[in-house]
Amino acid sequence: MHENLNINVHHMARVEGHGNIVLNMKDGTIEDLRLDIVESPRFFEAFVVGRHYRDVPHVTSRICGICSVGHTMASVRAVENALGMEVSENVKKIRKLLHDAAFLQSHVLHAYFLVAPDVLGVGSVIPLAESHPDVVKMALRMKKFTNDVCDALGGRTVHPINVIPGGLARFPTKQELIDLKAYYEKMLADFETTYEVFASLDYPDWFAGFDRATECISLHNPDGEYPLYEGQVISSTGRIIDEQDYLSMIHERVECHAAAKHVSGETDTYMACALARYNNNYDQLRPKAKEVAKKLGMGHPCTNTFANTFAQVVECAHLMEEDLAVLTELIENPPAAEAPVEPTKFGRGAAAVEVPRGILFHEYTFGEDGILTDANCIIPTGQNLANIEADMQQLVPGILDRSKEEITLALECMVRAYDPCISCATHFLEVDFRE
Amino acid sequence: MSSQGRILVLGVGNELYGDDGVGPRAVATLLGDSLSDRIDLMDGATRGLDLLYTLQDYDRAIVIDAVCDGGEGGRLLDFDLDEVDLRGYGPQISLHDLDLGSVILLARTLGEELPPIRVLGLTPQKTEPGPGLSPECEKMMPELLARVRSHLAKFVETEPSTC
Repeated sequence: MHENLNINVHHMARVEGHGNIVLNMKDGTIEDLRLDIVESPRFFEAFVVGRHYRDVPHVTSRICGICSVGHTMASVRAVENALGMEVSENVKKIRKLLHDAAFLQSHVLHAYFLVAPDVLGVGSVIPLAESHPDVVKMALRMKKFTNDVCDALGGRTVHPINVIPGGLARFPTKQELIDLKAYYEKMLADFETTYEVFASLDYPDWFAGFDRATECISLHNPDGEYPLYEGQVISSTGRIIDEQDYLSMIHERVECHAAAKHVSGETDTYMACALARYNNNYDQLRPKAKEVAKKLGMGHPCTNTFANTFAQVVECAHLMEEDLAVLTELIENPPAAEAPVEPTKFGRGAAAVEVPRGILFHEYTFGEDGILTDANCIIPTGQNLANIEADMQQLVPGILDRSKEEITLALECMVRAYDPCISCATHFLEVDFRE
Repeated sequence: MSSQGRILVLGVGNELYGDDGVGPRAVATLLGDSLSDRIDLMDGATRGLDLLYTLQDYDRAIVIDAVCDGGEGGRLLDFDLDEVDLRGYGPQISLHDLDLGSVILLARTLGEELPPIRVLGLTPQKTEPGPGLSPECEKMMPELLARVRSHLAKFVETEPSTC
């Protein structure tokens, strides 16, 4: 059992965000346990000031290469809310298909490329390619599938150009929808295998046994579908608000050790991720997804943070079933091209959408000339930071009998469990022990 | 793989990170050339895994990148990727940063088919945030571009289209 322990997981990366894990323990007391965020400020909220509303989503999409579709959706919906633009149901259906494809892509990559190496005790996907080539080839095939869907519906793989304020720049043809549906059906077998793979892995005891109840914040849509694109905002404490009122629930604050703001909700810390969505919206999951959750051993609610990866796999099952149903509907009633809806007012508008890592808020204010005067974006990784530290506080006392290497791995896994967009910070690591 | 004798010129790197932007800069310059319609130019920027699928669509590729060989900044390097042993290449960084070397290593490990890849690069002198190449790399850009054009001419001449 460690009485004195000093762990400093220090990250060096090329250009993306940086995070360091720091643990200082003296005479059996944890003096310091935190996730330092040392990435540079991004200034996107300043970049978009002075931009025309049509340009804004193309700029904010660049906040993230992995979540470019999600930022685009949040951005166009915030623009549309600010300018009084109501898009058609067909536009929403096609946007949702694209949005869902980005979820599938992100979840598959996180589960296979970031989490599976941890569980199997290797440093990266390269050793996995040697030991399990068929599984890695399958993961690459799934990644290509989602790329191709994003190409078909978004106009390109990242930073979609087809989603514009007021509608879509281009509608898919009936034949394209038929081809997409056939592609989804062909990929079902790989997703089925994925459910089996993650149900059969041998997880460390600290992974399988972690238990900490926390507030979950996500979108909410009690009478409709599992909400990823739009909905009300719900806290698991029971409070439900309109997305326009998000600042009455989401409270940002500055912490000295983090360049990203920490956020509190109805309580001091909360979770915003696939597991939060699962906990808040379990009833809206499709039957196949509930079946996969059972196969993975997930209860409801689930209070094991590490099971966020399981929740991602469950969402994959939900989305494959959901999107095949939507494609069938669209093929039966192919959408005609529509001109983009024009603004009916100018002013303030906010939008909340789910992205793979949790709920995302964009808020804009426009003048009468359609030029943006003010912007606010709150990303999921920032919302999760305080909760990550609270989880680490719970995790460490229970694993002090393990080696420093295993404690370090467990802490890294805890950060990676949230699939943070500073994931750069959690795999290319220099670990310094000082005692 | 395509059977049309298609050639990809892929510039990779970050234009906002000093000499890491050698590849995108070279591709942008080559856009002004009258090239064979068998040749595609692509700014690969900092893309990762997606480059695997892109490369597999071609019969041959030239990759232009900043190449750290331990030497002084501005050295021109020109080699077949097959000459390089990537075993022991650094661990996976993240989904954001799965760089070309990791992608090639992954493809090799899986036995994925890749086209012959010629790498042309400059040894970086300045790798820090900010646009623009160092004077050492800026000076070598004409020679780098001449070498790319020379390879392209040779490939087009000796590897005719099979269409």
